[in-house]
Amino acid sequence: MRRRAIFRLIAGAPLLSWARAASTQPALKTVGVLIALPETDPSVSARVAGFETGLREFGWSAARNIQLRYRFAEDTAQLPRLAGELVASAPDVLVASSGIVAAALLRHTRTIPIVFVTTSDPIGDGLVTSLARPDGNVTGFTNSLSTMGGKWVELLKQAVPDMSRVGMIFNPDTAPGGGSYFLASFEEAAKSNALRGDTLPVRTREEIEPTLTTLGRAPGPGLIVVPDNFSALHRDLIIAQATKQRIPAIYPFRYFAAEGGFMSYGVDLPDLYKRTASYVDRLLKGAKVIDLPVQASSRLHLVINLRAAKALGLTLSRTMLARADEILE
Amino acid sequence: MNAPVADGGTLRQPTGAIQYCGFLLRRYACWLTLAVAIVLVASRTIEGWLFDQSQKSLLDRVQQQQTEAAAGRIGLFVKEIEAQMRWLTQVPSNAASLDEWRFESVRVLRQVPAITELARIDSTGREQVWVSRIAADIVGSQTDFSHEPKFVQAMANKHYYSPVYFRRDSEPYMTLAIAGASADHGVVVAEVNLKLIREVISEISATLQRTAFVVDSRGRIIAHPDMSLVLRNTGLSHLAHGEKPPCNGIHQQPLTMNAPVPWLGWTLMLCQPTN
Repeated sequence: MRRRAIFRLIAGAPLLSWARAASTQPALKTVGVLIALPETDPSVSARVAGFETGLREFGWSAARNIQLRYRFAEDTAQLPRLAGELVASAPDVLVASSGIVAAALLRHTRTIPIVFVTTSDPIGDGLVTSLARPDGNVTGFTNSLSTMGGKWVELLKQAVPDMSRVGMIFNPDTAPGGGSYFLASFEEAAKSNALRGDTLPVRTREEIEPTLTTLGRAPGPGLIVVPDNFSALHRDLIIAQATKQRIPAIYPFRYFAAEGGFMSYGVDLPDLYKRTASYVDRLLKGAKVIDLPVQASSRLHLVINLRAAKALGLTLSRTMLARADEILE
Repeated sequence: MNAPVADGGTLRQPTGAIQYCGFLLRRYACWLTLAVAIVLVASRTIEGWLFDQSQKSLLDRVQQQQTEAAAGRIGLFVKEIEAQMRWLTQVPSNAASLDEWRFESVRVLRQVPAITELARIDSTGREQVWVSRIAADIVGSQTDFSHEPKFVQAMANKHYYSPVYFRRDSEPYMTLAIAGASADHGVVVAEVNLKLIREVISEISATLQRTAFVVDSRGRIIAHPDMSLVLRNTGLSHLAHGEKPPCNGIHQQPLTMNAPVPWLGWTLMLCQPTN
């Protein structure tokens, strides 16, 4: 009798512990990720890697306990359809690469938590009503305050003292506040730096070339590219045209400078993807959106591309070079 | 003991005496052992109790010292910023040196990520230059700050720490102003983003293996390893209304050891592990 009991204990223990492990093993969680860039975009792999590295730090791995459903939009027109598809697959959490992506997802769900990786004006764009306590199903991370419009003008003018005219390119359909968000600080800084400030609204890829050609014909041109899904999507053309027309330009993220843009001043995007992972982790573990405040980035990086400077025929002052956080040779 | 049988009585008598002796011996031994045991147990108990008491008070003392040291580190966070700003008070405050000052201020901004803006106010209380990380700089605004505490108190006491305020209702900030060595050097003002204390408070929590956090003079959490508690404007008063205590993890009870943060009127608190 006793022998039988011992035998049962020995044989049963692994079986029992296996059964217990199986019952405590959490169900596979699913996260839908919508990125408003084509899958082939050079910045996509860094974004995905940043996000997945962040998830792994919290113990989530695609091989074990999480399923990641990525959708990539070739252009913004595809966003509504892709957002609908992702929401229909009923993931536990949704991740949006930018504010307009979050808005597209929000049109399909008011219950599944949405985390935006980066946007400028989540209140103005109607994503949240309070940064401290987002009371809907959306939260995330912000990149630039409206005052940055002025900072970009100032930095560009310091780098290019000969600049006499500055344009701000944006797509009114996708830029924060339809382009108005950065406008006041842009115009004020243009004025105080004795520059002529022009807004350059473009709605299609085809409009970029003629717009920059016109700007390039003016004496002492400069270009501000605001954080906007459109500028990210068409940055290859914007950078190429700015170089061709010899227009010094400042961009909102490092990867623009890394891909040939003259300079950039803004937040560290891969870092935001990692931080997004921390919010996804908390939501998967049962946190509520209202307990996850919208966070602003406090670290901004100035990057200067020396090769681009040379192509523009610019010699940078030592003060300017000393100011840069990173210089790309 | 049985009475000896009449016949064999003489024969068995010595055995009975030996038995009797043995019995006595055993009895004495028993009592002796018992008495010694009682004394030993009692003394060990008392000793143990005393030891526990002294251990406990020692532990309390060690914990209080750790808390005070941690509070000191938070104070140091602000003092280090002040030390970096000190440079900027040494550039004379006249129009000719403005460019030099701006250049130096950009260097300070790079070295101290917690400073979002720096300003120079001359000895009459007018702002000469304002340098920002997130907005275009303003040169020569001549805005009058001569009646503002950041100018008045810095001129009187060499430095001024403002109460904590929240930008966009979320991010904790404080104004830190320091005066130059002589009155004509004016005042240098920094707006400090207290979010950056997070690294220090996380380190403290990791070292002490329990959650440490800081509340300001009004009881609002301004530094916590969990940034979301800070950005949500959580106050200790919220806790009374059923919010979760800022001591997370299952092995921690709210509260705590605490110690004042030097110079700033804040309090560092430590959650108490339950075991």
